[in-house]
Amino acid sequence: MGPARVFSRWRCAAAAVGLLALASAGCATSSSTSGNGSQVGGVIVVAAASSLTEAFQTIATDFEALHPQVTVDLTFDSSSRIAAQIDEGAPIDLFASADEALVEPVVDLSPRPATAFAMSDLQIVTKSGNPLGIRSLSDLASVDVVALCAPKAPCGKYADEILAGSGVALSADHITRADSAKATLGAVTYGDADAGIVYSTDVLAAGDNATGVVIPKAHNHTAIYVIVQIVNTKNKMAAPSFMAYLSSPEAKATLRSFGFSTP
Amino acid sequence: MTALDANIQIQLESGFQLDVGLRAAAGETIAILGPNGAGKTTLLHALAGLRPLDGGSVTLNGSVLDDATTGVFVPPEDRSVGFMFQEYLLFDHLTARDNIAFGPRARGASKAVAGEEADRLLELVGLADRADARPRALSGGEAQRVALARALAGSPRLLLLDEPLSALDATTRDYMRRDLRELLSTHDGPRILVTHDPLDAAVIADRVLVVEEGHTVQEGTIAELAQRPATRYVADLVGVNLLRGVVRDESIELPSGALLVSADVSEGTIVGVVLAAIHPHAVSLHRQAPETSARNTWSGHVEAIEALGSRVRVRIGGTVSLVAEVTPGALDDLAIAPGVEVWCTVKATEVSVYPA
Amino acid sequence: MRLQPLQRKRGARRVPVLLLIPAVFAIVFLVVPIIGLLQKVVWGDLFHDLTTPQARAAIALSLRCSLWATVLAVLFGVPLAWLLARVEFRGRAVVRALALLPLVLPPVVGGVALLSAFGRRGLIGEPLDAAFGIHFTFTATGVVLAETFVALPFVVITVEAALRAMDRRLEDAASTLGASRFTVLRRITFPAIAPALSGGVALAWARALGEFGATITFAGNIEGRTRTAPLAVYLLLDSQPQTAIALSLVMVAICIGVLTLLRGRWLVRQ
Repeated sequence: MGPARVFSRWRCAAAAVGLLALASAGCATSSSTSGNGSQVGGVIVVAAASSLTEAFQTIATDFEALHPQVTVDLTFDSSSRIAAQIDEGAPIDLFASADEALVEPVVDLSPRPATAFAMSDLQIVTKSGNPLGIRSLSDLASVDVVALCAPKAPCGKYADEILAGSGVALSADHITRADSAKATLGAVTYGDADAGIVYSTDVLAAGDNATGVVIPKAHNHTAIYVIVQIVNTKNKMAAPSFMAYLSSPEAKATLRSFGFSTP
Repeated sequence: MTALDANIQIQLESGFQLDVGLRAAAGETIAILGPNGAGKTTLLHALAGLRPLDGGSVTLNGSVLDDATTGVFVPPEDRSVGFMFQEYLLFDHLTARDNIAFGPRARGASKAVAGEEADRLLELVGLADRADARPRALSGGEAQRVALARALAGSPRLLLLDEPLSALDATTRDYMRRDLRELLSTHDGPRILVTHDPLDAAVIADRVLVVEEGHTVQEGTIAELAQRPATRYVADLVGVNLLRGVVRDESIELPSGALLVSADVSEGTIVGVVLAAIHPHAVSLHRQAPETSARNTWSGHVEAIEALGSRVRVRIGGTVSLVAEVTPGALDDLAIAPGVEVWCTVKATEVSVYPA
Repeated sequence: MRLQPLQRKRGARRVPVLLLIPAVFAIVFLVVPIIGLLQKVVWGDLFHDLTTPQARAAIALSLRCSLWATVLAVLFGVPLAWLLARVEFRGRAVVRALALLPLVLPPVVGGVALLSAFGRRGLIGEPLDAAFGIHFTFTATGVVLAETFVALPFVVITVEAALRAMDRRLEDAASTLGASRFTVLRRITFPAIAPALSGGVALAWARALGEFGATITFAGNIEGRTRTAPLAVYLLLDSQPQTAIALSLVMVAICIGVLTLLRGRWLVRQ
């Protein structure tokens, strides 16, 4: 990764400035707010909900291709843990959360409002081929171990709401709690948990390693992913540019290809 | 009656070979004397079963303990052999009493019986008041007695002692040497004592076996050894001058060409290569060429002078190198100092000659 | 803490500044996180925080599983240490490296490895499940297994070193006194390595108590069943930070207690 990055920077240095000007509309926005020049550059740290892992990796690569002088550093965890890290002063420029509620403490201080950029509902995830024949939420009550996200993580909060809303009560000693959506998925795919509740996008990302069972709309929950700029962000130019890019047709297409719906 | 009959052959990885025959009667103490690396400790280990034989056999009171040809091997724990190790090897986590009771306990005695045995032995070695002391708290002499008591506990059929006095300081050593003989007499089996100190052997043992480079070079009492030392090591050990030569015309021709006259040879009974032993006190020293009836007279230079109790030993180098033993008074009278020229004389009757 | 050389006695050697400065930095580096943790503790609520059902369940489970893991580590680790110290066999170096592997392996990797061996679709786990319906994942037994895996090396290392360091002639002496091999082991060898063993046991226990990665990966994180104190700390950190900190404090206290009791005896021969 290092050498590739160096190479791309080298190439961009050799390229004409005009090429950069063509790059994106977000560029113009940021350059107008900054007296530092017309180019978008530097490193931005994007902390995102773990369920965004695959989609954001692609989006970051595409974004870097459009803005060769920008390097996007990605970190994934449960949204609740990222919120806690921000609270402790973690040097994060952008926070992509799976739960709007979690960005509230930062959004008030943010220079611009949070933007919703993707949605995903949840699914029951089972081992590949659904060996236990799980058809509905109520079937979860009869399996040995169900993997759920930590109660404070958005996917855990939603799962608890879905279960409560559909009247399915799982006893605590049959629930294993993983700290993020991806870890929950892992407990089912490589671990011994019989089933779990994660985002539909996670099931899709798992490919052949897992089989999803649709949760009816009536009981399901749609997570809305929002992105917000952190007030003490270092890179005031590139961050809004990345936020804007998320609403571009290219990014939307990418998000949809990973199973997210877009506004 | 022979209680122990051993023929010990061991081949060490280093290439060292041990081949020693050993017989001992019940109640007899045999000292194994030899320089460092002679194989003395290996010999004891073989007797104890800590090292199996590569050849030969060990028989104790008629039962075979080890036989390389038949493959019989009785492990150490079943041999009833008391072993006192050179560094004692007391068990640090046990009291003196429990160290001694360990053997009887391991051989199946009840706690009470083993304890009584330990108390009896503590009494015997004069350490009744140190029963509850840990080995670290014991003095060298006390540790030595506990180690001996531990080896004696449970009345083993054979007693092995590896340098029992070497770890002691000179004073303790002197009185322990006397005590050891007495304490050993309480054991009624054969006792094998390894030492490098001829004094230990003289005081404690009935008989001495000298081992050099894995082989027996001489056997007998210390007196017999002193009379006719078989090797330079034995001669040094017993403090005797040993000369080697060939009998020619009623005298002995030494390698230097000098002639040695002995009453033994003049009798005409000995021919060929011989050894001649001369006790240092039989060597007289003079500052001038003497006019005496002694037929053996050689000149030389004083190489070294060392005190030996109330006597002084003078080493003389010359055509015939000798050690002479004189009184400090004589040393003064003759004004002997290192480097001075002296004449040595030895009477023919003082030269003991025997076949090499 | 004693820094005696600082109060320089006449004739005592001066402590080289070049060593002293980084050493002090090291002390600060080790102490500051503990102070940081202490100032986060809400002391007034400590008792309440530690007696919540979750905290009590986590502490109880942690103690139970770590003690079992320690027992297993001793039961299997001491014979293994003996084998490594006393028996020469082909591949001994490889076996020793394997025995120490859990010490350096990332615990999560250990958990994945355990899953592929004892999981319900694992090498041993699958036949065991099929034949007897025995499974380890999501059970306290699984926690014990994961903890034993990471604790074992501490017993093996310390005991093997002690066996190598002890004077084997003491065993010879005991055998000439009529002690069978078992008696020698029981009355001479074990007492001789007891201080090292107790050090190894304490470290193994502390390590088992703190086990996180292998446990969550292999045994899961089920309240009351496999949620040990470290798992609870991690899970509760964003929802009930106060309880998480209180639990952390308990673990720090236990570990400091263990190490103080040992007074470095496991490393330094006294």
